[in-house]
Amino acid sequence: MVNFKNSLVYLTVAVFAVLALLFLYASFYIWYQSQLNPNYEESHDYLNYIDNMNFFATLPAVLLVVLLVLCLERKSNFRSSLLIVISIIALSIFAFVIYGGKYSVGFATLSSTIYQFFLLVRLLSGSNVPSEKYLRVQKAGSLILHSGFSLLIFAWVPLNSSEYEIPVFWISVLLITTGCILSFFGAEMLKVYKKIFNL
Amino acid sequence: MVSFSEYYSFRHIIQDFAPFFKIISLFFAIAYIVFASLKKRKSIRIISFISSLFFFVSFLIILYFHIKIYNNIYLTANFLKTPLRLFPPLWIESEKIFFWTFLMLLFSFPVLISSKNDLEKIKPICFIIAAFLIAVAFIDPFSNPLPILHSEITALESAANSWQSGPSISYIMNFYYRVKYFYHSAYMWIHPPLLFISYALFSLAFPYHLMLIFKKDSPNSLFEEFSYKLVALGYIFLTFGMLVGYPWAIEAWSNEAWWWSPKINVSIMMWLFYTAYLHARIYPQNWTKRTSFVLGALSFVSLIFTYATTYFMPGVHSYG
Repeated sequence: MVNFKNSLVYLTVAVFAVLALLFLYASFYIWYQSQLNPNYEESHDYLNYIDNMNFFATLPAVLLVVLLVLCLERKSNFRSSLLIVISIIALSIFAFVIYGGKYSVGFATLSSTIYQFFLLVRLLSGSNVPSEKYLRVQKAGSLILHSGFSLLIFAWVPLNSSEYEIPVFWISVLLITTGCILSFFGAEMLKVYKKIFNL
Repeated sequence: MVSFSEYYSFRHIIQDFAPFFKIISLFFAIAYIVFASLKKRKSIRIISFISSLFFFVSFLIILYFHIKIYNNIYLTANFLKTPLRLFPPLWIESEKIFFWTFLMLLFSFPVLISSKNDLEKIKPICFIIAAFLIAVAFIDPFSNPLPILHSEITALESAANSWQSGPSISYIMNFYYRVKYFYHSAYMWIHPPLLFISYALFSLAFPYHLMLIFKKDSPNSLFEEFSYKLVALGYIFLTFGMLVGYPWAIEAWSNEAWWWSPKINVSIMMWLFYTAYLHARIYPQNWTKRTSFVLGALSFVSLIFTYATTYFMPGVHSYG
């Protein structure tokens, strides 16, 4: 039975696959061009290639951001969550029309980061708690991990080349790594925690 | 007159170790295959211990070679307060595959030694380790130790002995920047080792994915769980390791177009495959499980491709 949660995951996997194929194509394209012209990477054509690849990657990358926001609904488990997610997407589209892609991605990623922190606080305060403790740790890990990715895109797109890019980038790296550890090894982390604090 | 003769003589000594290393590695590879096929659990434990020990000793020899380089290769110039000494990282050039295999042996050691793990569980590990031992026997770190660095050192020696000439001065300056921003960069000591740790963990998971794909009846849950944990752990190191490379790229390649270069492309492709694998396992159903096994195997193929890319694709990461 394919439900909303599953179809989001399948779609995400499919977008990952499309992006992976795009990167593979790009590699072979450069290899082929370099066979024809050994100085290809110093040529003007190389800059055109970068522009073209950025263009081709935009759609799947935007789709990933949308999926990241849609996944928030899956993680929310409360009534108004769908409304919040739809609002984020609608305002991002609005920002795209008025201010352009950079601001749109900036709004979508920053608002989803903030919303994920709100969900994390709800989870930790016990408003939305799974019955098993390790599931709670895993869920917290997943929220931290995905908020890290939202923040990473925020650092790379709207903050690109600004003085805030690298500090925000390192915060996102910290969140991603912590999130990965908690989300993949939640049960093990809980055991270690209990051992250390004699619980 | 600058002379690096002590470095050259030690390099010759470790080159003499190469045939011995190749034969022993091949012997271990055969032993792993034979013992796993004949289901000799105790012998696998012994060979795991001896091979890990042998690789540890080989690693110490490599480490000593690097210390020799540090003690013997130096650069003196007016702009340097003290002579610049070089300590090359232990995971570059001809030492990469060795380092990768060494990590695999280290990570697999507790699994192969533990009496909790039955033969069915450890058999795939034996085969993948054997494959890597064969590879490292052919691409060993001793036959031609650090060939690129060696050519840099010989060129440095001749440049230092003709210090007054223009090309020599520019070579020495280039060498200085290469040591500072490449060999001695803090990122160099974090980014590659993290990636090799992930590669080693992914390599150990690969044979399980293959077996799960070709198993016709219901998937072995032990294999599934174990391979998933290996990939999940490797993924943490891969993601962190790749991200750490970003500020390094900005710093080192500020004047070059590095984004969309082949090695970066295929590295992201590999990361996307492993991310897809982990996502396919979020709500495991029978067919998504099968998809995840295929994705797991494909991810490893992309890992090998990513590694090989350095040698045949152009770009900023290229050795070609």
